[in-house]
Amino acid sequence: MIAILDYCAGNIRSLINALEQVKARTVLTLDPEVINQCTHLIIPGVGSFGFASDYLMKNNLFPTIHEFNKNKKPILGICLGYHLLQQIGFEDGEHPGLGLLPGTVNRLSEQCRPLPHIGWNDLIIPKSMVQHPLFNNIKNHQFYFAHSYYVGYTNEIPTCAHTRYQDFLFTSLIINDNIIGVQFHPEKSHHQGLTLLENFTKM
Amino acid sequence: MIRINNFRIIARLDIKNEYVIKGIHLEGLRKVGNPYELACKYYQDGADEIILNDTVASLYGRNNLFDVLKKSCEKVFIPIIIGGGLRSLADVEAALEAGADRVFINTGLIKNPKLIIDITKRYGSQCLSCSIEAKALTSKKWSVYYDCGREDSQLDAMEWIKQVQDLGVGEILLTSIDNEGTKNGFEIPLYEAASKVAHIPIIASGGAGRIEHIISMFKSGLVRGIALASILHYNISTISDIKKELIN
Repeated sequence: MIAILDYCAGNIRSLINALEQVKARTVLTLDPEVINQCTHLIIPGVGSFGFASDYLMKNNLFPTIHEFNKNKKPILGICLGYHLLQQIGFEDGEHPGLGLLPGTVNRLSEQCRPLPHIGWNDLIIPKSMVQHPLFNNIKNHQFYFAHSYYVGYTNEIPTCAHTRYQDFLFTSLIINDNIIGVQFHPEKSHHQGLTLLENFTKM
Repeated sequence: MIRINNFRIIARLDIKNEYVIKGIHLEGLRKVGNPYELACKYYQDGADEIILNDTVASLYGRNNLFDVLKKSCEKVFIPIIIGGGLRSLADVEAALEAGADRVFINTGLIKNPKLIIDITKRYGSQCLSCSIEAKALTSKKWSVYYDCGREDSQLDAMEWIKQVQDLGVGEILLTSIDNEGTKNGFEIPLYEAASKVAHIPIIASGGAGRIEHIISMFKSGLVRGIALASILHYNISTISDIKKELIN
């Protein structure tokens, strides 16, 4: 059973539909006990970092998610959900993230015009990552993006894929052991997105 | 399936009651199909996004599109953008809850521009498009209309673009009332003027009747996407054929 974190984060319906399409069983929940019993956790997200971070704290979900991670169960963060996995977010002030990944969330440079970055774009995947089970049966590496913020990492992380918008290169996917973060929306990325979600559910 | 980086071909479904309809200059509406079936068809054919526009909601102050939306997003795994009659943060919340990925608002923002701040603070800029229906006053000046092109707001279109983008809107869906439904091509001067003031993406809507219109708009680099209706609904061309031409 896959827990989808229910924190009023926008297009959750699309994500549930996408997971049902690939025959996954899901539960939309905020209940720590229910989350604990699940095999996978997805943190979805359309929204602002500050609002989401406050909401998770108010509902005391940081310890629950940390516990889930300690048990090495697969976690997928999508867009804002990916941002929340990081140390700090600088959207609407400074807010703490879950700290499961070492990045910071910043606004895309004003050189990236127009902003937000909306539309389909390529993932540039290093050779070392192409064989990862997450990419099984995925031939087209174009996915759908809709964001104004991105995650920056101070140190080079080898298990990352990147995307170029105008002349700016940012990390669009990271695999760190049991934790996966994606800047794009697999639930909105046609066949390749559905396959990526299916591959995640099999991890 | 062809995807062009950072350029979207969007299928626009204008809906009245249970039907997709199409008019000329946003008037004289004809039924052209079932919204759910057309959404699925355009999804299968490679559309990058689907727009569902409730054409009567802003006139009658209601929204009857959520049933179509709920059903469509069970089978359509690309973004669905919904609009028509949304007036409050609660309306937007309900639209996202029903499966929309983004909303566009015209009348609601003209009547209450501060709504932009409420929506984008909660859901981010990328979640809100401002729909602008522009009618030419001169060759360099456009007025902003609302209620499906029926009412003149007296706002200058370029000033309105500046205002909504400063308030935080993430995109402009810019419809040319003069060219809408005519199949005579896009109103290029409108998009030239808009691209000079906008630093957010612009989607062009209104006038595409032949593939050449789409190719020249794409090559101009003025906009980040094109919303298509007549050309698709009347089977003049298909999305996959259009994209093949664009990458050639």
